[in-house]
Amino acid sequence: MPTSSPTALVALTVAIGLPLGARAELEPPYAAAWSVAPDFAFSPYSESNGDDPGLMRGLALGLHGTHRWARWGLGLALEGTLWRSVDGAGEEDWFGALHAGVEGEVLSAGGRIRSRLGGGLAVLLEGTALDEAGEVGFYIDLRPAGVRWALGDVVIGLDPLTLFATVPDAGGIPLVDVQYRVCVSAEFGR
Amino acid sequence: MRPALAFALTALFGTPAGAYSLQTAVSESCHERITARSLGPLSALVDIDAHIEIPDDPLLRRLLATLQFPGTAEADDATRFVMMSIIVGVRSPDTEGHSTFDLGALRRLHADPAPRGQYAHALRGPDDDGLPGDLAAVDGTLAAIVEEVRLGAELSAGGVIVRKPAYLDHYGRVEVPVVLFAWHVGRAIHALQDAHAHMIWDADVEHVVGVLNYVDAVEGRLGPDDGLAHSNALDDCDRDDVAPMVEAATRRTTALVGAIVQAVQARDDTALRRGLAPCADDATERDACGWLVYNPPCRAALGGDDPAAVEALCCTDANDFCGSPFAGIAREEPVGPYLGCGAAPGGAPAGWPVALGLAALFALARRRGLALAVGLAALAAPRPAAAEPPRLAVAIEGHGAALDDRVDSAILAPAFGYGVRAAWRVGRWRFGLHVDRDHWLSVEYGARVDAGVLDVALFGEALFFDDYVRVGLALGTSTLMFDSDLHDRGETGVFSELRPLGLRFPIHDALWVVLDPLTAAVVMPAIEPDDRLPSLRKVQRRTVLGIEGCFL
Repeated sequence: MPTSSPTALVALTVAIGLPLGARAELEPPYAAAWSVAPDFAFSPYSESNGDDPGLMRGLALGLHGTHRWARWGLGLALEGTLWRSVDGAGEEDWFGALHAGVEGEVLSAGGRIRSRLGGGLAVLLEGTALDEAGEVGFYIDLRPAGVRWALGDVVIGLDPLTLFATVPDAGGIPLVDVQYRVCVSAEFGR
Repeated sequence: MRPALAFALTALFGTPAGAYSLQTAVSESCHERITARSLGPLSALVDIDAHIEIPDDPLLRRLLATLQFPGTAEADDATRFVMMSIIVGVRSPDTEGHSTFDLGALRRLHADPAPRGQYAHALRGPDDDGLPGDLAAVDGTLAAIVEEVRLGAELSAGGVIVRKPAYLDHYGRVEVPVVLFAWHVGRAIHALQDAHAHMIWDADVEHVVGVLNYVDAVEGRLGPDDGLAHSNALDDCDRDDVAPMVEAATRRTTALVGAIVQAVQARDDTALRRGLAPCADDATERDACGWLVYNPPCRAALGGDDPAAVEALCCTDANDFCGSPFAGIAREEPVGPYLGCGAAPGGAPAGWPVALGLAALFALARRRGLALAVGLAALAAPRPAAAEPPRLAVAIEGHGAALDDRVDSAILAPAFGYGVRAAWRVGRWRFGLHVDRDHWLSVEYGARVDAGVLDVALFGEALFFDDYVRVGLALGTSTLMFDSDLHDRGETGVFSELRPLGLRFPIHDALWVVLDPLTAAVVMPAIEPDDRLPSLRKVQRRTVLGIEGCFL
């Protein structure tokens, strides 16, 4: 039975590219060996049935550097993330964390589809009643399928629905935030 | 009886009494069961508040119509309303109306470093160290009970009805009307019952010899003076070896309710005072006194500042809590950090188990992912080279959903289902009919699969990249297929599903595997425009996998 549990999605992420990719050669600029991509993520789906109709429960700015071997890529990610949640006093507040990690990706459909899985360390930037600033935990960023368009030398990326889970304080009862996000990026490669 | 009954009372009361956890998919209904067995004075409790007027509230009327209580099949609505209020109050210290799967709420409630937050559960505060800490925790818990009783007594006249939060499967946190007096009684009952699960008593269950510690244990910083960690074994009311404490908790809960009735009804708090004080040596009715008493000789020794007397008379881990038969149980199944990440002094950095876990996850994903990929690749066939693609497509699909990312909600929202789609193609566009059955898992008051909804919709989608990629949107109706807590089977509302990026793999001339890694579906079978009842609405992130045949 298919499921959107993280483990199954991880498997799907890795699996998606192979059958598709077998049929199309990568073309420039989709096949850049090195690339750097600023990235903006937000979560338009997250509060759609909550009390607050606000669309931006989570916001993130990131930078991704990737080295590719044909369809496979390995890279580093650095991202600052803000999200709204309920703090230790029961009030809704903004939380912030810095995420730094590694990620792997596979391109398919001639480089026009990208599947990516990342993970690493999450550092809480601001303390709460229950957490201290500087707590270090982990995160997972799962982008099972995104599209890429070449605009000249720049490749625009759109991941229409991704799963991002951060645990900046993994001690005790962990501080966990799950976000379903849209990610937009502009990739500069050579 | 409705399957998703608000407080799962039918199931709870139909089983033998157990312990001190709340009823959920992963824990037993100790508090609810003990409370249900302890409410002999219920009728008197209702008589106290003779002025109760059932509010004209559709939510309350719906809940009262669905609740069942043992031995109260013929009970009037006022009695049932008081019972419901007590149960909401009993659950409130543990959840405050949040889901028991809402990690954020659990953190706030159970890892609250304020001593009062811990005393509401009969546990040590973070600064309650050593034997004085035992004493402080017992006194703090007694104070918490007295405070709830006092608040309840002050509010007993006039039928004060307010709204308090409670959690309903599929609806989330809702504000339900409660009789405030009864709600406070429920909270007092909770603390007294927790004292028999979070404290170590002597063999006769007459006095406390040690108090457990949750807040330090769950943070992984339990020191030698912090007491034993909260024990899931001592919390298990179904164990035979904790039966004496469960029975004592039941008797004392009954006595507490009776004393409250007497205090309010007859303006006589004698029974209440007697219950909250140690038993006299010649006391014959042992359940009428000493409901929560710390080891009297030790208390006296601690007050006298006599180290030799303290060592001789007080109970600690070192002397096996004076031979209490419950000490060994209390050492079983100690609570710790959820992810094994603690701040143990002198230990390795807290993040290393996480890093290992992450590495394991990657390794697992790699193995499974590669296996799946190899499978799909083996199935994959060259794209059919038809001059004009087939116009009719029929797909059979399965779907699943697991996580919820709303603020202040349960992290789990499991659902699964299956469906059929038929579409007609015009150029790169396809339009058709979508039908699916979506089953919902209830986890709040026990694990159960509910019949969910039937979704019927029209959809449109566009194909890209040689038909390997699709983007689609479905709009239609969603029909409830079971009687939920607040709505009847057959209620019909709206359904929509955005499939922002799906993938298609050809496996034969006319067959494709279709995969939507994540979709966003809004399933809303019951819409309540005036908000007198909460709407029934779910936002699901589905993963969809299916097989599609293309014809004509």
